[in-house]
Amino acid sequence: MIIGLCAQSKEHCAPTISEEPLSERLANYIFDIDFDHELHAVSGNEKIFWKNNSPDTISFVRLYMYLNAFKGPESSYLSGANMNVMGQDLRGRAPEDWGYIQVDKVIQDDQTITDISYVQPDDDNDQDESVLHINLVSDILPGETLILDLEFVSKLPRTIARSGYADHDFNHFVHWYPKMGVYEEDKEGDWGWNCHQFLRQMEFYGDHGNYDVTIELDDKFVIGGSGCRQMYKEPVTDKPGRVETRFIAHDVIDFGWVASPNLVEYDDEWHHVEIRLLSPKSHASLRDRLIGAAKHSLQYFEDHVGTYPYNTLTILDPPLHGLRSGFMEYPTYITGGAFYSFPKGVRSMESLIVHEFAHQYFMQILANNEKEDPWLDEGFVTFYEDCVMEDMHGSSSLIDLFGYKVGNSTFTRNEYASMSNKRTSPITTVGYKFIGDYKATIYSKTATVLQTLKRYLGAVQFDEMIKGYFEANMFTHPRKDDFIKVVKEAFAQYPNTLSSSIDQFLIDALDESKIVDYSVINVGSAPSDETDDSGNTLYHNWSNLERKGDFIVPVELRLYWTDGTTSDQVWDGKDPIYGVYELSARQLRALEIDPERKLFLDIDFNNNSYTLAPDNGGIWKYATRSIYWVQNIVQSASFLM
Amino acid sequence: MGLMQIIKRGFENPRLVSIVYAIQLILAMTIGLQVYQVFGASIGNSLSLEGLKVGDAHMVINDLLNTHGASLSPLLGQVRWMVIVYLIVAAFVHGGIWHSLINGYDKVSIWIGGSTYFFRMLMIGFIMSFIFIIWSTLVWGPYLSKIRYWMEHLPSEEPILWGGIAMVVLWSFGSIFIFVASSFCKVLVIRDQEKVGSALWKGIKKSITKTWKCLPVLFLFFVLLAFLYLMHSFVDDWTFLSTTIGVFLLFVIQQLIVWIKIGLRVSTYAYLKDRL
Repeated sequence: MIIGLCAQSKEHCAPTISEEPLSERLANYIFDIDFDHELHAVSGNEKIFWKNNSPDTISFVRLYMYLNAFKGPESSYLSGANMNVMGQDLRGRAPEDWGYIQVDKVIQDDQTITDISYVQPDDDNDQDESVLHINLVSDILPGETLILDLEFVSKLPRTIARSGYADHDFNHFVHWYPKMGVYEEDKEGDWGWNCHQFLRQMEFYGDHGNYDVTIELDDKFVIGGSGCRQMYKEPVTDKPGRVETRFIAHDVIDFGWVASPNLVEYDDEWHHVEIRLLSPKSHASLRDRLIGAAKHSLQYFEDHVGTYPYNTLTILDPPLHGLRSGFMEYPTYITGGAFYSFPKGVRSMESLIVHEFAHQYFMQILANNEKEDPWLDEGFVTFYEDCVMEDMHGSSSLIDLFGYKVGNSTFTRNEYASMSNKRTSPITTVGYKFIGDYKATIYSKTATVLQTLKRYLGAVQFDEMIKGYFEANMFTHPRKDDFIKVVKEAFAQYPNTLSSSIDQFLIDALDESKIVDYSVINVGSAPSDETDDSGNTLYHNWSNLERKGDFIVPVELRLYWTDGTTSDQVWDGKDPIYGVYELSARQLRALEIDPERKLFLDIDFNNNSYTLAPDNGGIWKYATRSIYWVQNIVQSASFLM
Repeated sequence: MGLMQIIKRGFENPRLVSIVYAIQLILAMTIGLQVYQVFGASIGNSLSLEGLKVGDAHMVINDLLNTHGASLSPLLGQVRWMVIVYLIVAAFVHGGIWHSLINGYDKVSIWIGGSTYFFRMLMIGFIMSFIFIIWSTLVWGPYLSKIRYWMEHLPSEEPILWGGIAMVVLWSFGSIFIFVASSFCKVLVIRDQEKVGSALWKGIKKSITKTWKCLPVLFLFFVLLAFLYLMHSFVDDWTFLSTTIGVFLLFVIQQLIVWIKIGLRVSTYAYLKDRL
């Protein structure tokens, strides 16, 4: 059946660059559904083909029922978020604003399965219906394929966490269907269903497979989604005004789609990739910026990580009332967030496109468990967002407006360095158990760790390491150890200051909440009574350094001498206080720790150096600016006095 | 009267402009010098200072705020208090300026005018500020309170943006009207020796008919001010102003802009005085 799907799709569209399967294709789906835009609901049939690649005989399966997390306040997701999701207060919602997913019939081997129930593997909340447990009619032996036929209804909520509808025209179907959990070997070596409830601070996890999705809907809708369109808006016989669109997606972990009559479609291409932007009419002027960011991302990843294996990329630029559907990633389908007439010098909308595109690699091709190891996608994606943006726009990649300049990697690092409490849960904490500033840690600190690794290793060597990680783990579910392995190998292959302590570095950076902060306390130079062979006076030159954090890393030191020369040393960074001393004919002028800013995790770069001859021009510049702005403020404030 | 002639009126007495400038500079320097001291004490011996000069300052400032933010935040509080103090000082200074424009300028006219009309200027200033706050609330309150609703229900931000621009225009017209009324009140108090209440009533009435005629000139003044702001942004970004001499040159340019802005304020007063 799976082969049949491939053969059919080749007639009209090829979802990937390969005629051969790219993944094991364990979870495959065929949908035939009707979309009722008045109810914001779909109903129809879903056929699941799930291959048992485990050594176990399977007697039950578990399916994600994500939309039930938005069924009402009692769900674990909403109660865990105190009814406030990303600033959206959900209290007092009208009953019709909630969503749900309901399975009306399940058939296996022509027999209707009746032993179906909701289970709560993560908490005891029996009101939560985000995981469906189905006891099978007949067991599935290792290597066999389970075929399930489901009749289901999915009703969208008014948008919560990207899923849903906005007013009467915008419908975003994501996490909208009964989806197979992942049957896998856990970290302890035991096989079982990894099918968590939908909880706060949690995203998604699924096996790769093929999707064949036929949607019947009113003719007025523009529709887009994952994969390629094998058939687009073909009239349905005997149903005037109704059309069908069929999508085919291969080797993907999910399928999302959008339908709205008020979107405009812009098509473009990059090498083998058809790029489709779905955007409100008023955003026409942003087209080149959004598609340009996608194209640059494709090129960057091609050069630095690996080839994008799909032939399509669909970008949804949501309308204002659908903005809560933005900022998200689905296989070959991403959603941005842009505003009419946004200044070109503020590139957050481009940065967002790059971020979501990067998820095609980190969560989709390298399909890590976003619920348990969110850092393996969000952290990596943030890092690559910074790389791509700085490759596109240089050091002021994020903001370059009226003389105010901010680069992406600086912004990311500052987000981590500015955390009021950096002793949060470590990076590798399971997503839904994380305590503290989630974004600053999972996204920004991880990206800063990766930036540190890149700077120690070198850009070319880092690329080589990531390419190795990508090729070894593509279309699988990589875990922390898979990444650790390639890092250790790379640091062994390309020795550098950090190589000798890379094992401890990775533990401290990923599994602990330690802080890096190295500081220069003072620098001094004074003549001694001694002279060198030429009769020149020798000077006592000294400097005291301090390790203010508990994260120990070897650091490079640069000594600046009054004769204009420099000399470098390495400090193992272990002692709380460390002294540098040199009796020399030259005088020490300044000392800098980590002069090349390799240790990007250091939370304060200002204290990394000390000079005896400071140039206060910069301070004066800020002092004069302060004077100027205070003068302007008092002038403006007193215009009526 | 041509625009250049109107502008010239403000700079006929550079001493008058310079007195106002000097008062503002002294107040602003109390903040500026503290900024210098805090930066110097916090990161004065760091090589990161290089970054401050060449515009690569985001990380330097970020780390400074993270580590020494507690030293800088009181300065923001001081600015708030300074504005309040200056509002009172401005009542004195502006009384002096109006007096000099109406009764002729000499070396002591600003001080005589300031001391003679201080309380009346203060009263007019506070009443007009109160009216201005009410006007701003009336214009922006309903608009801002609707934004959240619009974001959930409007398919495009275009009408919000253009609506916002329309509100800025409306608010600006109202603000100009209040400014003109305030100016006319002060002229009536000083020139015609009207009492504040009567001057307010007459000033507002006069401004209803005369504001429209003054609008083109006042708009040109606004364009000039906007141009000065933009010019400063460009100048501030020039890399060659990152040397020590360059920083001094930047300071001179900044202060020249401030001085010209004060002169333009005096020009506006002179123009409005002649319109009444």
